[in-house]
Amino acid sequence: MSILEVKSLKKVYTTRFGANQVTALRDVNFSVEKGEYVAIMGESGSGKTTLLNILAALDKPTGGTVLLNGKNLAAISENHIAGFRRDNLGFVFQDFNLLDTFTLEDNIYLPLVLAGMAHKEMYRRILPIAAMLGIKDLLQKYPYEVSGGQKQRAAVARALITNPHLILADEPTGALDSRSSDELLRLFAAVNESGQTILMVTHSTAAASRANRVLFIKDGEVFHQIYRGEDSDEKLYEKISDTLTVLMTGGEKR
Amino acid sequence: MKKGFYPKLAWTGMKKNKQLYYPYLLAGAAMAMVFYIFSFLGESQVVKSLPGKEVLPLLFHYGAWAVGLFSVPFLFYANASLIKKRKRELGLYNILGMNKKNIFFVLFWEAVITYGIAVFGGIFAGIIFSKIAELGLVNIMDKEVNYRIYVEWKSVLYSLGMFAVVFILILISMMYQIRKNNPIELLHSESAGERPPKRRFLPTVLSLVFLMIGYAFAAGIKAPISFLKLFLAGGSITIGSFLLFMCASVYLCKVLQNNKKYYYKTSHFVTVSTMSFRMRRNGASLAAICVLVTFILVSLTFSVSFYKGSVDVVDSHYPNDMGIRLEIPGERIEEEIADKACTKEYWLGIEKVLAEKNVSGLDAVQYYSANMLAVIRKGCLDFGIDMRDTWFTPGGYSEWERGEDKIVNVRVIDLDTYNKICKANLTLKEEEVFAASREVRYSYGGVRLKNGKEVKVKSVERKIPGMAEARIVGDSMDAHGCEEMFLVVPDLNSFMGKDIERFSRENYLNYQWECGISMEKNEAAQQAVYEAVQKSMDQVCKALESPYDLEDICYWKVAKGERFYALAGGLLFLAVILNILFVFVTALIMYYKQMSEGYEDVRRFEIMGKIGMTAEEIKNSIRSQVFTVFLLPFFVAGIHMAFTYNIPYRMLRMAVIDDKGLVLKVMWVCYFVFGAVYSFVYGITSRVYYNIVKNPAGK
Repeated sequence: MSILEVKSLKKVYTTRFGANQVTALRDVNFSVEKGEYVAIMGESGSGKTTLLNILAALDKPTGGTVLLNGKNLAAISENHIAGFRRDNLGFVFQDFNLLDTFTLEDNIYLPLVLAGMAHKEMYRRILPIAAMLGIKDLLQKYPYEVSGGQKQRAAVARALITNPHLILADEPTGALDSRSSDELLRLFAAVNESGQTILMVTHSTAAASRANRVLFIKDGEVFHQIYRGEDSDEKLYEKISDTLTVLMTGGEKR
Repeated sequence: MKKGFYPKLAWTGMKKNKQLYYPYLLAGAAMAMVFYIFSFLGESQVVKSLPGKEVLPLLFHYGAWAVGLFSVPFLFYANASLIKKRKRELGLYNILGMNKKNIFFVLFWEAVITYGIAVFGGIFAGIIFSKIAELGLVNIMDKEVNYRIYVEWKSVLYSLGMFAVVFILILISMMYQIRKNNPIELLHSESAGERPPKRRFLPTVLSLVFLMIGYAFAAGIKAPISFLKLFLAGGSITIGSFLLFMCASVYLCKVLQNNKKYYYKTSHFVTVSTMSFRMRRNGASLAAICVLVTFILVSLTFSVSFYKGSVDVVDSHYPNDMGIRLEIPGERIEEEIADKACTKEYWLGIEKVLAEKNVSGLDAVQYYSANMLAVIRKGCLDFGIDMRDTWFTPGGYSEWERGEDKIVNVRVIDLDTYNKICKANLTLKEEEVFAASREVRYSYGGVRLKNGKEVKVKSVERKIPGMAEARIVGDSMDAHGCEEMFLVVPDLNSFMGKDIERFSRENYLNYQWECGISMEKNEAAQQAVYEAVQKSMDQVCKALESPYDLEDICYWKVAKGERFYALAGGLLFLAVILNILFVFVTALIMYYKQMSEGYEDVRRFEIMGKIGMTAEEIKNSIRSQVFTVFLLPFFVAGIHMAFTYNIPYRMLRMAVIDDKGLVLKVMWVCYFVFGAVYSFVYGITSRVYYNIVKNPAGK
């Protein structure tokens, strides 16, 4: 069963006085199966961020539907949307979005505390996750005191701890150096191995080459997609590069 | 460079930051306005014609300089909050190619413009409001008003000069700050200091210790008021408050964070952790607010109580419509004791006047008393102690004020006088005395005389039976604020014995003769009687070659009362205006605090929204934080006040108003009235915060 189904999604931005209309998403269709690791690639301005915002229920589509676990996002009332997001989605952002007033541990707990979970249960959950992400010894530190890679791992832990149906990652390696990026992508792969569904938006080929499937967006539509199949990371990297070349030189839709 | 470039740049810079500059200008203008008004009232001819003409102008001049002095740290604070936000912009100028000299010029012009707008605006407002203030003052005293507005040029010059100095000081400090920073630091100065707050045990304990010490000093202030103690109380409470808000509050948050069950609750989680940061950063402002609020409340309590109680004071000071109080000069004491030589003459003259003026009944009494200082030691009233250095060595009296021991002002009268004037029927055995005191609240083992002999005390009363009805004894005017007691002795002369000389050397002994006259006549008739009494006294004094100043020894209640009410009204007026200014200052500190908090919180709330906090949860969290930050200084000020109510009480006692109930009542009324004003101010300033949080770009 698909966890996420996106059907003829459309988003049109209207300038304040309605004079100009900008179409960010024209007609986007795709679905994500449980346990998949999907990367979405595209140029700046291709509509990636708009798509992610709509998937995260931070923005409303102009047309089309998004079904998460069979539930239509548009049908959820304004009051419940934050709760819904908290229970079903985990987020990893480019700029980490950790609160500087919390220790890493408390940052990771935040969604659980909001859900009203008891401390014992939270503590039980954090241990394996922190161990897996290698931040067990950093839990008492403040974001201010750790490196970018460590911050991002804490953010991943925060996304994982609610056992979400889907993790949405927005350029997770964007603010990291190459070593930390590699490390994070390795962790993402491991997390995916353990059965977690991940949807990642990126324009880094290296990041995308770790996914099972890569979607390319251009001019508000899904332009192309590549399945990993039996390919290695390197092979996939090559395929993505080729596709990007075609994309950039203005190739026709296949 | 083109002419007018710097002024223009300075002006645009200020306009772009108008959110920051408005309150700064407003504060400067308010300071200048109040300074001008006080200075104006100090010079005003109208005030000089009011009953309190001896004290009021002086009082207002002091008020003006107090405002001037206060404006220095305050405008510095406001300017610092302002420049902190602007450093980034100045750093940008620096990077874009302006050297520091150029920036100096921009700052210089900004200071000039600020000074121009704030001080001239303030003086202008002052000129308008000074008339209103004058009318208000005249109104408090029930006097004729006139409606002519005029400008007191001397005050204008004072104000201009005073604030020129303040702004030059500010400019210098600003330049110093810019000079020592490099442009990159300037650019990033806003985000400096994000280090997580530490839990610091020592300052936390110290804050409580300082508060305890301050409270103890405040509660320990007795008559006579020790200004050292007053200062120590104020100082310790201030230091304690700062430590409390800056360190102890963080400590508390940390303790709460360690309580997992409490901390990991939706409603506490964000609030507690944010508060620990917020308190570290804003603790100082909160402490300043708290101390200011306490100060406002204490001074307001004092002046309102003083105003309310002034009627009682006049009644208790001057129980009769008019009278005479005089001290027998040292060289005459011997003959006085022998046959009351002088006072007999005075009394005869007065009796004659009363007969002439047809003052019905003999509502006039006279009595004669010996007054001195003594120490109550181990429950015994001891005259044997040499107290001559008490008033002239700093802290000299504290030597006698240990534990239950204390200094009292003793007034000794003999039994005959007492029975006569109080229409009482008291009997005393030889070597037995009767003691009474309104204030001294325990019984004495005895009275020890100079020669070491002990006399038994027959009984101790809180109120002297018959004395209030006899309307003879006013509170002593010169009790030095000491507690007072009366001793009724079988015979004054034998009680004092042969030690008069030692008494006067060691116990500040003096003999007082007092007479009081009451009548049922209107003011004009009273005045006629009073003038006749004065005339008769004058004649007798001249005949006896007594060195008295009639103005000092004769009193007429109506005239005295008027002067006293004027003082009370003037004080109240001063306190109200000063407190309005303080409220304003508090509001301004709040404003800057809210603004800096707003900018800090915007991003935080954005993140919370992204990771799944509902708008409702964010709003609740904001509300509870805003509310805590609002309530904390006010709440702590309430505690301070509860522990320091002794200060206004003792100050009132010095002004001979002894009414604890009144002080407490006034205090709580002030607290709640002020609470309403405070909430209002907070409501307005928190709008700034909400606007920033909701609309981060500041559009």
